[in-house]
Amino acid sequence: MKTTGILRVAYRAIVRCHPADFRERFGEEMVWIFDEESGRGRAGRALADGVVSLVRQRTRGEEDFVAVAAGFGLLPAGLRTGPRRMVQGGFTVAILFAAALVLMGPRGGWWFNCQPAVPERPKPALYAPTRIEPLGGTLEARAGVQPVRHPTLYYRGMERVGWPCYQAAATRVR
Amino acid sequence: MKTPTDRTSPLSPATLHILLALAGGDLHGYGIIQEVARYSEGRYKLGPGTLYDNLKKMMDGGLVVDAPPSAEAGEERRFYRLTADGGSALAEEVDRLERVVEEARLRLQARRPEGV
Repeated sequence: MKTTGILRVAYRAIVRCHPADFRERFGEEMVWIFDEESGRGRAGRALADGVVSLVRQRTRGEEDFVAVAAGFGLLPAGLRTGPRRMVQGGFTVAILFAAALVLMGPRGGWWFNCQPAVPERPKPALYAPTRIEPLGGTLEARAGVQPVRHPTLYYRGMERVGWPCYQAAATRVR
Repeated sequence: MKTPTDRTSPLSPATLHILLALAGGDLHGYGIIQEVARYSEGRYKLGPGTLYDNLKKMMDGGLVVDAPPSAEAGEERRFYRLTADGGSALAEEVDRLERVVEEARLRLQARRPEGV
């Protein structure tokens, strides 16, 4: 998935975290404008703006927030401003953490600018060896830059081993 | 009963810019963003979150309402329209800003060294 697609998914997640009445009223328009801004290379800025909007919407109406939280037994009744602010701050941090998780994606790549542990390559076309003969021994497969010693059976005639997401060059080790 | 000024003055920069943009006519959300960017020459940029966060407050306060859909353009987007209260709030904010500017000019003139 391209970076823009990941940002769009993240932005939709942020919009979904807005209060229901706000989301139903403006959610689709926000995503529409986000798409327009993305086309002009301003997706990151729009995303940050969405997070700020989310925090504003979720921390507005302190009385309502405390009433709901107290209703679920999360807060004792009669709390004063200090604890309320603490709870609101914790709630905000939780939202930002959830947004960060979304941004990290399934492989934790975009947010921390990490490369996948194993370079993604096209799936190998597995072929049937002409002759299969279990030999025993150790298979050394090179996955990326990290050599992996793989104690498994090695079949004569197979020069390549197919893995779920990459194809490792394999050499037999006596 | 609150007056528009009681509810809104002094206006936040985003609110002021949205009211200014809508003072020229009905606009949809992205139209507001573009109009603000146009007349501020790109110096003030509204994001979608900030826009709708402020629009909601303004609609709740009666400064802005939904405009009837534009038939000629066949637009499905919602358009927003300045109300009379919104116009009053904008006019009062402009008056307030004028007084601030006037006061600032007087003070700056008083600070200016003679002969400059």
